[in-house]
Amino acid sequence: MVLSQKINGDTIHKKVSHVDFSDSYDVIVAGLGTAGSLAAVCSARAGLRVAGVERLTCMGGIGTAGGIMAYYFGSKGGFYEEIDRMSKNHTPSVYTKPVHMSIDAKKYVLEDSALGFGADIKYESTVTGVYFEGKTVKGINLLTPHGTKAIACKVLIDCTGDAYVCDIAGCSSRWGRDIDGRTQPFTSVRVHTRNGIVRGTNFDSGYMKQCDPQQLSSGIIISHAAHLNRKGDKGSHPLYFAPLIGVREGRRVEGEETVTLPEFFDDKMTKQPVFYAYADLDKHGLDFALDSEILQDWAIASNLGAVNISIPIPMGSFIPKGYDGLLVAGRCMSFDRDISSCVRMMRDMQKTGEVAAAIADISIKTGCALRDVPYGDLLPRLKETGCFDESNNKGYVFDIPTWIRLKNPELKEKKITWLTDADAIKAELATLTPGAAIWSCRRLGENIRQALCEWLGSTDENLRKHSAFALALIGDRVALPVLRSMIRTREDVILQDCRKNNQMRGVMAIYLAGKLCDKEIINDLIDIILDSDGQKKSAHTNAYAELKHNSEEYNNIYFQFFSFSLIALISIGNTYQGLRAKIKKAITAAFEDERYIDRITSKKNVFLEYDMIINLRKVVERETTNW
Amino acid sequence: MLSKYDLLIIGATFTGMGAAFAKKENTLVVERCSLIGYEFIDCFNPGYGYGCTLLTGFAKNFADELTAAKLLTKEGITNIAATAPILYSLVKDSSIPVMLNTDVAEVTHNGVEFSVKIFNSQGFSEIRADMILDTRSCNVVSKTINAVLNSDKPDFSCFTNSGSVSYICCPLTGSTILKLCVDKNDDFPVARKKLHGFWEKRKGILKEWTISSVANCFDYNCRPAVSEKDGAILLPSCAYRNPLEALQAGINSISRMEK
Repeated sequence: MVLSQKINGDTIHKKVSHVDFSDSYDVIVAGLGTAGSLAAVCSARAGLRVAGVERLTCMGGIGTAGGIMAYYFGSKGGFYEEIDRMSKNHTPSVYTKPVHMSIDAKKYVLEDSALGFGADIKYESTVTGVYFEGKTVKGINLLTPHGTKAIACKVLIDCTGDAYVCDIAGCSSRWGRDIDGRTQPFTSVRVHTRNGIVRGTNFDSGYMKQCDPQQLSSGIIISHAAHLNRKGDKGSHPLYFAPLIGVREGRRVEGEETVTLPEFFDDKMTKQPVFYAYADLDKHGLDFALDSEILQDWAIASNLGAVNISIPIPMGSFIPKGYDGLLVAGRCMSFDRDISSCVRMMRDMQKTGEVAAAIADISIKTGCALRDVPYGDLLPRLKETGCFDESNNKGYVFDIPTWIRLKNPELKEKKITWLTDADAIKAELATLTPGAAIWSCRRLGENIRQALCEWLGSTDENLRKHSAFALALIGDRVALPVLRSMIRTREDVILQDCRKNNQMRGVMAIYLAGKLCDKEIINDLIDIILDSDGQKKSAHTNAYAELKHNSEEYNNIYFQFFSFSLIALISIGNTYQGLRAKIKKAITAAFEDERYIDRITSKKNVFLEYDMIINLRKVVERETTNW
Repeated sequence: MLSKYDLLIIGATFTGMGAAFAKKENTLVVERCSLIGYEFIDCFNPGYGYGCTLLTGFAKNFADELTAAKLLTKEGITNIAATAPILYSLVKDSSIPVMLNTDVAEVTHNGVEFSVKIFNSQGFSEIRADMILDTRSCNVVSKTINAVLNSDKPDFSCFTNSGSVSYICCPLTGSTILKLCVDKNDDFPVARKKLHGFWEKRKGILKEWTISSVANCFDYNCRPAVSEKDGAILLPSCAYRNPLEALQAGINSISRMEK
């Protein structure tokens, strides 16, 4: 047997001749958070002998220990709904009425269910080593308050959020966005009561790499401390800081199958889904310019960032590539980074726990390898609880979160049907909600190019400009003169497709000019990054809504123009070697002192706005050092 | 992170942080959970016996900040939960290295120095230290699981302490802290179930009160155990009557060491 451990940050495999396992389980679930709680409960419910291992002193993860009491989208159906129903039975008879879900009722019900089905719960315990025979997991080393012990298992389910167990086991994985390795901003939640109701308050706290113990420690301390200077809700009484910090993204294991955004957009998804995930590609932070090209094509060039999508999730995304006896559930599954921002919502993460339990159960009871579990055996079980439900496949939808719907019952969701008819596309391009039409053009490609070229000469301003976006998106440089004029006037008209993160036309034009590597726009982009006025004129006067991020302390309009111009310049410089000296000189001047920060924000360290600007400097250094 | 420290403090408790503030140089605090001062703040234990301790250094600074924020009166801390951002802010502004989410797996002494095997997201690593101050709970005499109770119409007259139950009324916040004694060996699921069952069966006017939060850690009653072995000092923070006394005990422990 081989013991895999992490020592000083490195994975070390050590041959061991004999292991004295103190106990033996069918399934060990590492991490009893959002996914792990359901994995433990559902495995035990299936009659397996289960041990759940958790660092904290409760089950439920971000929905309990993390203080996030409300669901943001995700698909309905599954055993989690039974847990939620039972939790609601204890409010307000025992626990105080919550806005959505009582943290303590859910902790109690999860624990009671797991124990009731016969699972063992091991709190304040951590997996420190994984035993293998070949590539098959045989057991773990567990550090408990009473010392270390070795425990055998048939299937180990890694639900640690950041795949710490897979990391110890040596599975390959990915981290963060391509350009700088950053993950989504994290959040510190303060739980309090107001008017007799338990609530949580949180805000995005900036970036950290939570697998670095020092970054994690200082991140937690700084983000909790930042609550001191924030105006509390009047009449609210604090209860505690959530003992689990709100991390949205981390390590993603490479699985037998990986769910990717390009494949989703090309309609090349699994035909054997185990459930449908459902949300928008929920980006936190405003540094859109640093996202992947495919995400920017969607969220910037087509202004569809807040559109919800239904993603079919395959069984292979639960199985670390090449391994047996090991499953992963939760946000660390095999997703690409862009998809993971959607497939991370609590409802869906609970479903991943239930699915992992079902895969483990069938594998154990039939003796087949995890990857050989027949879809035909798995699907009926998932249908039984509603975890899989074909009606959850909603396609593309302009949807509305529950709390907005409650306040505005007149708002209705709107399903998107991609257009194929030129007249219909023309009509939508001529509005301030052209997003679906622009993306339809991307799907049609050559078939719509000629019509778009004709509309480029239209006297209708919207049709002309939005046709230019669509043409640029399909790679046609004929769009450039129209894009350039929008950049030169620094057009701050904001489109209106979405309920959040709507884009300014000037910024969309910069993104697309950069995508087309337009040499002629360099001087204008340089003017923007060196603009000593920081686009002050328009900073606080924009007529459209959606500027909640813009304040006296933070000029989001200029940040968007600045960051997109910078990335476009880098992209042009990467293509044309002869222009690098000129571009580098301008970028160096833009960053030579702290004035560029002052032009964007007066906030300092601790705040996301400041962190986003500091990230830009690091990206510039990384991208241009070798020019 | 260095691999060798003069002093390794185990537990980011009030005593641990008091000692860390007093020592600062070449000191590391390691903590298995992700919170600071949890043995009072996060188990909803406002403490008692205030005003009996001479406060110096960081303990005095902390008390001054609490007074300025109207969270500390002669009677003591009025709202223990509200002290947390102040504590984190002071720790943030200090230069003390605190390593959260870090387990201590093993401590050995080779006659010259300590070798401490720690475990966190980077796996196992070793820290060497001349001295160790362990401020975690030990020598437990009894423990309670605590909860905050709320009511739409707070009537504090309904609470009567009995053998296993005591209440601390907080008229300022309209809440009450319930402390339910559980067995020393009860783990969290057992204790939580006892608390749930106890409150489910309450009668009369108590029914007006519901549990708005159950503490994430136990409230331990410990014997103040100052024992030394090879330079390792056990100073459980929860053995002190209140957070300020616990902070000062940490500060005083450094003075003693330096003597």
